[in-house]
Amino acid sequence: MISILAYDLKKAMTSRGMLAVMLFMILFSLAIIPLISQTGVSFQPGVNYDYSSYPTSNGFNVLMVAYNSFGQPLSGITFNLTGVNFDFSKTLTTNTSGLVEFLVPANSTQGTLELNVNIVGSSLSQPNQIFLSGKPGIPSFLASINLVSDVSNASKKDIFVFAVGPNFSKPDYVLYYSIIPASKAGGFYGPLNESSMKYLADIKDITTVVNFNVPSNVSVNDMLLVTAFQRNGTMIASLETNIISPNINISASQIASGFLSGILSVFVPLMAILGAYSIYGRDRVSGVLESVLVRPVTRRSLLLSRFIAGLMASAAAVIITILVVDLIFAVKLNQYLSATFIFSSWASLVVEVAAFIGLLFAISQLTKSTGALIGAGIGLFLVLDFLWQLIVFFALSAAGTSFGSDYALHIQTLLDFFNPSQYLALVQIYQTHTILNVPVNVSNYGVTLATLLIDGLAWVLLPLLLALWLVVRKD
Amino acid sequence: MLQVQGLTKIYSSKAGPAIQDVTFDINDGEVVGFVGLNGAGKTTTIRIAAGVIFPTSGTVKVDGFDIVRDKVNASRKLGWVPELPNFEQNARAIDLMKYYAGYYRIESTKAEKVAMELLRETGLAGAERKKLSSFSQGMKKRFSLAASLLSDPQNFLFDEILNGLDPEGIMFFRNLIVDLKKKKKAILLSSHILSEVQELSDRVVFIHKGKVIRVSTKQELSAVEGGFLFLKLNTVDDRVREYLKSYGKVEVEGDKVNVTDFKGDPSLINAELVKMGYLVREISYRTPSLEDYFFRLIKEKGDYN
Repeated sequence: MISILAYDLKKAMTSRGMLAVMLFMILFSLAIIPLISQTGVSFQPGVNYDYSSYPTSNGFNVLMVAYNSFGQPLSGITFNLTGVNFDFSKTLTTNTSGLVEFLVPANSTQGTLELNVNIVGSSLSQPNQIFLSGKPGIPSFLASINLVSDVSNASKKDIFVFAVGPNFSKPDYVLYYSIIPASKAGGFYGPLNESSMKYLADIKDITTVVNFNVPSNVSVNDMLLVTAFQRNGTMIASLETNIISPNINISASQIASGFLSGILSVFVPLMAILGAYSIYGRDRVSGVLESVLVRPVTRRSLLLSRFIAGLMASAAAVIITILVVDLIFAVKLNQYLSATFIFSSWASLVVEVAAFIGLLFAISQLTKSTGALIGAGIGLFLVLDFLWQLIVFFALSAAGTSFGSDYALHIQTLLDFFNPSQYLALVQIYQTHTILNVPVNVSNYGVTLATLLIDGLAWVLLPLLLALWLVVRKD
Repeated sequence: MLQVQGLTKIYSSKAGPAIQDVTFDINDGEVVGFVGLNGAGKTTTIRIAAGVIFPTSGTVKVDGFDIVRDKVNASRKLGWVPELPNFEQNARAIDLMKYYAGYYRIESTKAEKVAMELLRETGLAGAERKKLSSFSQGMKKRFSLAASLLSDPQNFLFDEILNGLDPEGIMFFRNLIVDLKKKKKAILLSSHILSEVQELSDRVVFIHKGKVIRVSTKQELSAVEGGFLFLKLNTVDDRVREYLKSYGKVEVEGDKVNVTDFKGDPSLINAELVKMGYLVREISYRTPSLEDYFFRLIKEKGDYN
């Protein structure tokens, strides 16, 4: 029997329709690259810089650091520096620590000097002027605080600190933070001191990236205040920024989730329909299946064998596509989709595949010509898959229901249970606790683990059982 | 042994039954001809017997196994070569044979060897790895035969297998049927080439408008009277006409006379006509063929237009 299944499997996997859709899905999965960039999750480190200076008897000592959007120091970055209203021009390159230190000769260090900065081969995202000031031995900026992307999760933000001690020695500061409630944001926070804030990190290097996790009880409108203090309690730098809520962090899984539900959900049912047509439907209506049916096999066994082969081939195609997405994430974001996410997406899509294969097998028993079967397959795809959201929208509109209302969400979710192409969407509702991006208590909408399991099982079994029932009642 | 009992098939209630109460059997070592006009129900009967369509009522038993209720066992003992074999066009002959072999539980290690041998035996040497789409109709029939021989079944259903074949192909299948008969196989042979059916069959089942109208043995067929007498005389008058009427149905066309359903001795007729003073320029006699017999049967039923 293995040879039979192997043949059917090969037949399913090499059917032109199925291969075409599989290829199409993989090509579409490559479309996720621009999708990632459009979300604002940058994975191409841009060049940023910070600086500090202090006067000496010969001029200004300047220290610059070049770093990328992850806060990683960049070596080999070339700065073109020219004096504004004074004669100075120099081209300098950062060392392995991303630092470059130089002297700007000046007759007087009482005032402020201005330098134009250009980074060779890069467009600056920061003001391209730096101002040289300070007191002898005491740098103009003892610390500078900025947000950078977390190196392992580009959508998470970390805190980058550039800090120097006297005469550009190593710093010895301490970093604190405070969550400013939305109601007080933009106002006066009162005296900032270590006792009123929470400890974040010690700063003992010229460049430091501090991992920052947003506390769970904050809202997206709250502000984050990060402040650097000297050991004696003197504040030397501060950054106030919008809070970075985990809810607005876009994780790789979330991007993939949107991609999978938006694109794969459309094409996986199409692939299942084409696969079912190639492996069973066409053979049945054209009479080719009779050449197999005359062998020692029952109709039900033959149908079941083709069903399993079609399901296995489609399941393999789906997992290949998901893994391609995973590979893209691994290369571009240096992270992998979670095993749970991969499995739940794959299992959901396999349920959809099983349902559509079963439905087309059942329709094959009722149609007498290839044309009628192709027409039925296209109809199935259009109504249950491609145009489903539009159909629901028009149905709700016709019923006078406001689209997006709570009542409409209830109806939509309920209808999704009766459509196999929406199974992945239901699973994602369960996982994300949102319907159409609206955070809800999903159990109130009937989406629970139990209902999902029952619905999934029903979609795997019912179309198949219908086909098995018809196969012994229709020639 | 193949037993067809009370087989009825109704495709559509409007059209009426395609076959009705069809009953006959085929013993081991017997070739049974299956004769009927187009649409008489031959192919429907064979397709039911092959297990590819269901009967509305009635049974087909293959060596005692019901083709509907015990399909796996029945199909294992049955080979079917349809009139127009229909296979996966993109499959290669050897691959499809190996696939079919799986259903007969032939181990995959042996399947290729068995399949190659059968393909060569059926005249498809050199085409083993070709796609079925490149096969002619005759090659497809040979392939279908090769596939039907995979389990060396006891029973065969040959539906118009001689149609569309070249003389070499006809000879091949004729010899094959003779060989299978020697091996005591039970064979149902449906064909429009009635001379072949007549030559090869031990019995003939005549089917007309979905019903079996007669089952005749070879002996019964050879004993059938009513041949054709043809005469060409110097003159044909009422005396000749009256004389010949007692031997059969007389039709005159100038100096030529056809006597159909002729019962008599042609040489005695010749001698008598000479005695009567006629000059017999030409005389010939032909015994009744299966075709004549068949059409006579239909005429008896009053259904032949």
